[in-house]
This record gives sequence, structure tokens and C-alpha cells, in this order.
Amino acid sequence: MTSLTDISLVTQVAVFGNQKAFDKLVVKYQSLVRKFFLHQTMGDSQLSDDLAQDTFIKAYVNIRQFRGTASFSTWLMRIAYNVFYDYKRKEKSLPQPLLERRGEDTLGAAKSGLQGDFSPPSQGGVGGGSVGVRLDIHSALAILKPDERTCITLQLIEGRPIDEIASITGMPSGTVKSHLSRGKEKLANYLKQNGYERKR
Amino acid sequence: MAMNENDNILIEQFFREAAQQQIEDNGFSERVMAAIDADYSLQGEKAKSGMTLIFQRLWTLFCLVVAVMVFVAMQGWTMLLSYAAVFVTNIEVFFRTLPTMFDLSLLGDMTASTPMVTLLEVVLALVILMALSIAGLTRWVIRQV
Repeated sequence: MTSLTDISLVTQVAVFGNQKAFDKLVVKYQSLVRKFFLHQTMGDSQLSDDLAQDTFIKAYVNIRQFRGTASFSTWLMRIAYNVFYDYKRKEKSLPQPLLERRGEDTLGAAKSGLQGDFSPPSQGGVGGGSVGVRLDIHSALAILKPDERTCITLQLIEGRPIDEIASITGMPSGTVKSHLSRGKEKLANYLKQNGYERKR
Repeated sequence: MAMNENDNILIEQFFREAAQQQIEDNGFSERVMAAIDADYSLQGEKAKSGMTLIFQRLWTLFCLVVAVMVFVAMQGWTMLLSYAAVFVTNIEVFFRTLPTMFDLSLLGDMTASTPMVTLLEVVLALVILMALSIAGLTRWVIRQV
């Protein structure tokens, strides 16, 4: 039923250029897309909204390429994934001081010696590793490599099966499984080290 | 270190709240639609020059007029009526000869009544062209409205 509604809205946009139909799609999927970016950028809401806006604009411009073989949300998330990785590629080409500043902004309150998105946290993690400190999802995600983070968020937060994650990221299913396995292992260790297990 | 069941439960619990979280719109969709309106309205039709659009519409109109003229000149409606009559006759003949189809000895005597289709095909093609032109113009009018 949901996909039928989506296909109907997509058809109205693609055939008649009906912007109101696209507005409905934006309202419906804005939370999903912004949440995805919020987790990839580890809490940078301004950057997340910019990337989410780019995603919806790209979806609008290329809406005629939607063939309906996958659900609209999978198609949209594939665009979101590409937008994020285009952004990462551009960010790598930025001068170093700018990159460092971006890294500080990104982690915000959760900063704990991290330098940019890709570095592991300092020993002890957020809050100096003391037990009982409130752990933040974004700082936990920061210990993962970007691909692991993407796979983990798509599975654990969005509840997507492995084949859908593979379709969104363009990775083979085996690679997705490896990223999930390594990511979960790192997260489990991180949570234990920060006393999360004892709080359960 | 291998993951155990407790580790999986620990991770799932940790992400449970984030999974249920919903982000409020707070004007986000309006900003997206405003950006689309400003830069990408009508999916690139604005990108086409005004002259290209006018030529496109004039060509559609020209095709429509030509199709109508040929249809009238060839008395297309009589063709359509005769085709309908042939179609009905064919069905009638089919049902009348149906019992004989099981009699193999009569097969050699059966002659298929083939209608004159060449001209009819032309008329049908014209009708389809007219329908497409009308659909194109209607779509354009809807967009303008």
C-alpha cells in the first residue's frame, strides 16, 4: 500500500511535474534522510540538512530514472548515500585547517580527541572513559570506519535487511556482512569499556 | 574477539532509542521545495529556451492538424465503420463455422475472409497519432494551469 502510494506520487511528479506530489514525498521521507545524515556526520545537524536538501533535489531532477524495481525509500537512500560520499570526496580535497575545523564542529559536545571523521577515539572514549557517563550514539558511531557506520546505521537504526543495504551502498552482500560484523564487534567493545553493560 | 548473544543484545538496546527517533520537519520540506522552485521547476523545462518550447508546441499542433485533415480527406470514419462491419461479420462467420472446425474433411473448403487492411491500418495509425497529440497538448495545458 505504501509503495503504491509512493509510485502514484512519483508518477504524478514524473509525468505531470506535480510539485505538490513531490512535497508529499519530501514530508514523508525527510526524517529518514535527515536521520541518516545526522548519523553519518555524527550529529552535525546543519550539514545533515544541507546534504538532505541536495538528496531531495537530486531525487526530483532524476525522478524519471526511478523504475520501481526497488522501493522509493531504497532508491532515495541510494541517492543519499551517493550524496554523502560525494561530499566526503570533496571534503578530502579541502585544505587541512578547514578539515580540522569541520572535524571539531562535527563531533561537537562529543569531541574527545577525535580528528575528523575517520580517526578512532582516544583511549577511554567520550567523557574520559569514566563509568556512568552518558554515552552518545554519535560518539559511539565515531569509532567506526565510514562504511561500517553506514552499514550499522542502515541495519540497526533503519532496520534494513542486508540485501537492501547492499542495494543502497552498491557493495556486495558479503562486504556488507563483513562491515556489520566488524562494526558490531567494535561497538560491543566500546560499550563494555564505557560501562554501558553494567547499566543494563 | 567473537561476538556473543549478549553483545548483540547490548548493541540492539543501545540503538533502540535512535531507531524510534523521528525528526520534526520544522520547515525543512518548505526549504527543499523553495530550492526546487527556484532552480529546477518543471524538471528542466525551464532549462529549455522559450523558443524551443514554442517550436515543440507548434510541431505538435501541426501534426494534429495534418492528422485531422488526412482523416477527413480519406473519409476515415467510413473506413472505421467498414472495419467494424467486417469485424462483426468475421465473428459471425467464426461462430457459424465453429462446428465444422472439428470436421477435418471440411478444412480444405474453408476460406478465410481477410479484410482490406492496408488503408485501415493507415487510418488507425492516424487515429493513434491524433490521440497522442491530444494527450500531449492536454498535458501541456494541465501544466500551464
